[in-house]
Parts: sequence; C-alpha cells; structure tokens
Amino acid sequence: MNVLNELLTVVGVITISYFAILNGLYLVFTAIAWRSLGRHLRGRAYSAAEEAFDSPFTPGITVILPAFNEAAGIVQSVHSLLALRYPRYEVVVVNDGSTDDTVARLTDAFELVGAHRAIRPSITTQPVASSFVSRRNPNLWVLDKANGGKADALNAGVAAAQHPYVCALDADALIETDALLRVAEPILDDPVHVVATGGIVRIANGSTIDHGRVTSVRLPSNPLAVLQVLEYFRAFLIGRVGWTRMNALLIISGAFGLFQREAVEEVGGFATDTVGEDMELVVRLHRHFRARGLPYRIEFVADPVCWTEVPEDIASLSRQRRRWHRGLGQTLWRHRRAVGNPRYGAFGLVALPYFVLFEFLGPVVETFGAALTVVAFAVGDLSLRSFVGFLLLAFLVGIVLSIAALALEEFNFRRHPRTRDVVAMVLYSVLENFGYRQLNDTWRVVALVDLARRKQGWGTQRRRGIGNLAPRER
Amino acid sequence: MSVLVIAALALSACSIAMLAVLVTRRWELARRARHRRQVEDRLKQAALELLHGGVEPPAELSVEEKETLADLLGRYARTVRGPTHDHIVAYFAREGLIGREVTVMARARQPWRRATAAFRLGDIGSVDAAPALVEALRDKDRYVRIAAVRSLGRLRAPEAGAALVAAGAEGRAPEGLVRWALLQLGPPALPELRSLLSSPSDRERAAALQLIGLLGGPSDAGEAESRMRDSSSLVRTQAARALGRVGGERNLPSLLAALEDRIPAVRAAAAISLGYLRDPIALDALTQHAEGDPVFDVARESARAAAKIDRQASAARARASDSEHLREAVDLAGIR
Amino acid sequence: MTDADKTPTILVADDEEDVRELVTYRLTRSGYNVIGAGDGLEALELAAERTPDLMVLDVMMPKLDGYELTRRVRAEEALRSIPVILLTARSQETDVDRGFEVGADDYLKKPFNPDELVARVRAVLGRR
Repeated sequence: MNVLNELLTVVGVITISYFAILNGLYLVFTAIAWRSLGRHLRGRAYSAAEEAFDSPFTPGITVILPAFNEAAGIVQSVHSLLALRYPRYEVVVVNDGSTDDTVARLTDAFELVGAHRAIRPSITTQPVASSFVSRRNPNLWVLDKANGGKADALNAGVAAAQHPYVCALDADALIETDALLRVAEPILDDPVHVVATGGIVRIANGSTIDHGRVTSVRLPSNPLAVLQVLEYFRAFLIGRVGWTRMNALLIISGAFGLFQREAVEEVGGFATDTVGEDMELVVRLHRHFRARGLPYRIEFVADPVCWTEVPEDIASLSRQRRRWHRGLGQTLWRHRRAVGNPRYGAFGLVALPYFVLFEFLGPVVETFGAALTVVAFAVGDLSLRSFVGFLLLAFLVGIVLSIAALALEEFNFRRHPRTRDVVAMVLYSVLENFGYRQLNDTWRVVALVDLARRKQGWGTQRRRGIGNLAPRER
Repeated sequence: MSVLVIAALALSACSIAMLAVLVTRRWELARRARHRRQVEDRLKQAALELLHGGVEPPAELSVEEKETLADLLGRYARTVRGPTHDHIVAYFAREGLIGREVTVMARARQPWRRATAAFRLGDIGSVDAAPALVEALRDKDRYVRIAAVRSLGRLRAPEAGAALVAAGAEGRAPEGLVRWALLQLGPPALPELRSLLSSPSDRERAAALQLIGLLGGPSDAGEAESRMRDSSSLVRTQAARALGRVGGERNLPSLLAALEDRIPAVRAAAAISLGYLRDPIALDALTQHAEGDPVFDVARESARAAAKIDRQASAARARASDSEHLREAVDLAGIR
Repeated sequence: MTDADKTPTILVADDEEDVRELVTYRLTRSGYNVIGAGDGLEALELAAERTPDLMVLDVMMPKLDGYELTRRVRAEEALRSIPVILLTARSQETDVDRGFEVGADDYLKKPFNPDELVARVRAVLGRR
C-alpha cells in the first residue's frame, strides 16, 4: 500500500507539473498569437499584393503536384491550380507510377504532348520515364515516373523546377486563388533570408466546393470532423504563429508549403525514408542554416488557405494520427543530436525539446494521469482527491484555451459565416476534453509502442504518403 | 479545496463569457454590415454618376453617408484611370479629404492609421500628395513605408524616383515593390535612374540598370554595355539583361563575351538577351553552352535562346548531341 | 422597343461587382444594352442564350477564366464571330500574347480608362 502510495504521489507530481507547464506554454503562445496575428492582418491590408501580382519582379514559383492514382480529381485540381493569382508560375504534375488513368485524363483535358524536360542531377529520384507539356498552356507539365512515394515525387518536381521557388502540395488539397501570392509575401518582403513559408490548412468537410473553390463554409455534420476543425485552429493559429515568432517553426504542412529551391537542393531534398517528410525537411533546413550560422527565416503565414478533407471515421483517423506520430518520432530520432543543443538556438533549446517532451512523450504522461485518476478513486486515497481536482482544473483550462483559439479565428478571419456553427464549436470545445483528447492520446501511445517494436515502418515506407487524408487511404 | 472550486467556477464563467462575446459580436457585425450595404445601395447611383460625369452628389449627406460614399469611390478609384479617375480625385480634393489623409499620415499616433492614410492616398490622391508620401518613406513603421511606396507608384510621381531607389537599397521597403513603383513612374524616372549608374552601391547600380532596360531605349545601350565590365556580378547580370531589350547588333560581341563570364548568373542573363536579339551569329556559342555548360540554368537558358534564334538548326543539333536542354527547348518552341 | 434590335448588346463578365457595375453603367450610358455575368461559366451560358454583339471579359474569373472562355467561344459555331475584349490585371507580354492567341480582338489593362473602353468597343463593333 505504501509503495503504491508513493508511486501515485510521484506520478501525480509529474503529471501536475506536466499540465502546469504545458498549459502555461499554451497561455504564452495564445498571447503571442493574439498580438502578432492582429498586427499581421492589419498590415496585410496595406501590403501590396495587387502590385506584386502586376510586377515583373515577383519571383517565379514551380507548383509541384504529386499524384498517385488521382484520376478522379486530378483534372479539377489542375484546372484550379492554373487559375491561381500569381504572375509567374508553372504547374508540374508528377505522376508517381499511378496504376489508374491519371495521365490519360490529363492528356485529354489539357492536350498534353510529349516533350523532353531537362532534370537537374542535384537530387536523385526514381527515373522519370517521360514528360509532357500542355499545348493549351505551356506552363503545365506532367512528369511520368516510376513509383517512389510522395517525397520522391516531390523531389522529381524540385529537380525539374525552372523557377527559384517550389510549392509542394497534396494532390487533393485545394489552394485558394490568392493563396500563392499571400504565402509568398514573406519572400517578397525579404527574399534574401526567407527560405520556407507555409499557409494554414482548413477543413473542407461539410463546405460546398464548386469548380475547385470552396464557395460556402459550413461546419461538417460529422462530429469527428468538427473536433478536428477545433484541433486545426489550435495547431495553426496558436502553435505555428508562436513558433514563427521564435523562428523555430518545425512544421510546414505537406499540403501547402513554399520553399526556396536551392535550399531544398542543398539539404538533399525530401527524405524518402520517413512517413513525415514535410516536418523532416523543415527540421533539416533549420539545422542546416543554424549549424552554419547563416541568417534565415522560416515562416508560417496565417491567411493563405489550403482546404483539405479530413477522415470522418475512427479507423482512418486513428491510422492518420498513428502515422503522424511515427513521422514525428522518426524526425526527432534522426535529429536527436540537435535536441537541447545550444548551438541551434531557440530551435534546439526550445522547439525540439518541446516536441520531444510534450508532443511526442506527452500522450504517455496524459494517459498515466488519466489511469491514475481511476486508481485514485478505486483506492479512495484522500490526498489524491486534490490531485483529481487539479486534473479537473486542467480540463477547464483546456476548455478555455480551446475557446481562446476559436476566438482568435473569429476575431481575425471569421471564415464560418453561420452563428450556429460558432455556438456548436464552443460546445465542441467543451466536449473534446471528455473522450476525444484521450482517444488521440491513446493512438499516439499505440504509435509509440509501434515505434519501440519497430513494427510498421521505422525507416521503411509502409505506403505512399500521398492522400495523407485518410478517406483515400486503404 | 475551496480554492479549486473558486478556480473552477472562474474558468467556467470565463468560457461562458467568451461564448457570449463571440455571439453578440457576430450579431453586431452582421447588423452593421447589413446597414452599410443599405446605405451603399442608396448611394451607388450617385457615385457612378459622379464618376462619369462629374455631377455633384446631393449636398445633404450625413456623416455616415459621406464616409460610405468616400469608401465606394475609393474602391472604384482602384480600378479606373484617366478622366474618370480625375473626377474622383476632384471630389476628394473638394471635400478636403486628401489634405485630411495627408495630415493623418504624418501625425497619427497609431501606425495602422498612418498606413491606412498612406494607402488611401494612392487611390484617391493626386501627385500633390507625393511630397508627403516621400516623407512617409522614412516612417518608423514598415507597413506605412510599404503603403507609401505603393501609393507613389500608383500616383506615378516622377520626383519620387531617387527617394524610392534609396528606400529600396537601404532595406526600408521590399526591393521588388520599390522596383514595381519605379516601373510605374515610366520614362520620366530615367534621368534619375541614369544618374544612379555611378552610385557606389552595387545593388543600386544593378536596380537602376534593370529598370533602364525595361523603360529605356536604344540610346541607353552604350551605358549598359560599359557596365558589362563592372566589378560586381549583380551589375554585370543586369547589364546583360538590359542589352537584350535596349541593345542591338553592336552589342553582340560583349554579350557573347558575357556568355563566358565566371559567374553563372551573368552567363544566363547573356543567353537570355542573345535569345531576344535573335541574331544567328550567337547560335554556335549558345548551343555549345546548352550542351556543355556545367551550370544547369545557364545550359537551359542557352538552349532556349538557341531554339528561339533557329529552331530547325537547334533541333538538328539536339538530335546529334542528345543534349537534354536543347531537346527541351526545341520541344517547347514547337508548341508555342 | 423596336430599336432594341438595333442597340448592340454587350456581355460584361467580371467577378468583381464594383468593376461590373462600373463598366455596365458606362456602356449603358453610351447607349449599349448590357448584360452581366459574375463568373466564366455563367458568361458562357448567357452568351449561348442571348448571343451578344460583343463581350468584355475579365481574365481572372472563377470557374472559367477569360482565356479559356474565349477559347470555348471561338470553338462554338454559333458564338465564333462574337468579338471579345479582355480585361487583364497585368500587361506582361505573355498575357497579351495568350489573349490574342486564344482569339481575343483587343485587350485592356486594369486599372483601365472607361473612355478608352468605350472607344475600343466602338472600334471593334465598327470593324465587323
């Protein structure tokens, strides 16, 4: 009994300090986000986007669309990419050994003709067997290559790119018309230092999509999708804004990121042996520049929007989250020598340790905390009553923080036009603390176990990363 | 325990208060938007008439109506030029609004108010506002400076040339935007740009050459050619690019020499310009670079230029040498 | 009503309401009959239905951009001969080239001078 008691106390103290530190950090980040988002948005009303669109000095971008068995949606995706507001860009579709008629559909829709495309030797990829260009629009190219996964497809696009910047996309992501111009804004502002930028990812489930554009934004009817809407608000509006301020942003979503081509080539392109190639590349870029003491910036921009479909059933969501967590683990492991390394500044001292302790191992602590609560009740330990109280408090703080993220969205963007959607989101902010968060933690603990047993891909590609978005996943 | 209860109650109250704020705010904003829309619809006809015929709007407008009208005209002003735009400017001048914006831009305490004013002046102002906007290029807030650069470009104020170049070179505003603004000034900016060719800063010299290439004419070719021997590769690159636009046959030798420059960017620029000039004399050197230049971008630009000058010959050469750059360039030229 | 047959009908397509209103007002005042569309697809349908005498099309439009719309109009027997004036936000050579390539008769850069638009409309209509 005594031993158990001691153990409970130790775990209790750890859990409480964990929650205290985590929520403290969230509070700081929320405060930072409130400050800098407001300023950014006010400022962007006077930034000269129209002028950049009109200017011959705006640098060119190669938009890379990796496609694996995307026949159903590819033509529409390409149509909407060709309608982006950006003065100088090309679209390179990389067909990654599809077994369906992805290329045939593109050929029909855009009058593709065979044309040779020179490819840089800087990054090696699976061989590109043939390439095509559209007779309608010489800025549309299709590379047909042997299957090698999303990272490999992106690398082929980078190697073929003719412009100094490359934009990496998901095949089923929808980019808003002016998103490219907006995500490029930090680059237009400071082309010498900014090496990568990323936009916000929003959830399209429930909204109306017409000709490749989201025309009316509605909350999804599926509760699981609504919970993810809130999660994405927190992750993007609070997390990424805060990390950007410290120049320690570790994640640019694979669905929508803009990179300086030469920087990507210099660090060797996207890694093909991880399931989280988007985060891994950004971490590698940080290391590359910090190790050499070169000034650089990696920025999150809050207003360019990429719309995406998220899983609506538990099984796919669980698969997606486990994969994300494995990807996180792989990246952190690969760059373990930078964790806590003062040589790497805020990136090594704050961001990486945070990701190790709170993002990667956090679920373990949270799961222990929850288990302890149950044990505490079973044992009937009086001293533990206060511990349970603390947990409750942590829940409440969680709710307040969720609502704060929602308020951040409401005050700055108001993308959901219906008031009832907002009320629903507030209710879900409360609900998510009872069940959804725990479920999420469980998946991540399962992913940890998988990693520890090296089951399912530590370093091996279990499946293609394209269609990250689980509905497409088998 | 009671501390916990109090904390819990406080947090719950906090959530409920936030919910209330969110919902009330929404209602209020929706109401205001509706109201604004109504006022706007009422005034639209008057605005359109004023825009086209210079007819005075009804005199008895309320403050709110006046603001809405100004907003509406400001939006229209962004899409039109010429006499229609002049009508708008005349209206704002009559109402004393331009002077007011100038004052706000110079004096307002909050940076965003200064930025709004600087931005608006680009739409509704006239060149009279230019001196004040030039002042604003030194504002301590970056957004104000950016708005001022934009507005100076929109107003096409030729006297702003030097101040704009300086703002760009000193990093007070994004260089790309500054160059856009200078481009808007058009040929009247040329004397200023030419005098910058002897600036000690290579960035300024390069920027000036780039714009002279876009705005100037054949008489600028000599100056550009002499800059091909500049010690800075930034300057040589822009000189080579400029020669593609303002240069001619006489400049071919120096462009061919630039094709052998140590710095790849200069070689690529020379290749592009040789493509513009379309003189077959460059064909041989270009195909050689397309086949053998160690730098990818130089080889690609050389190939494109070669295909532009003589597609047939380049195609034959591509078959013979199997140069991937020549093949790409020939294929691309084929669909255009 | 009888001279409605003689008044040329112009189709104006632009997704920006401000621009559409402005152009509509100006052309109406110059004596034309104007019909408006808010996107490329709507414009195509309206064109098929009403067969206007001329079209003023914005290049950047949702659903179908100005180039693609022009291309489709040129591909359609009944609409082929309708003149098209493109409104573009950029004056870059490639844009203009592309405009003429797909079969536009003229183009105007935004911000534009409404008087000039009317002059171009007259010229293009007179040319036929």
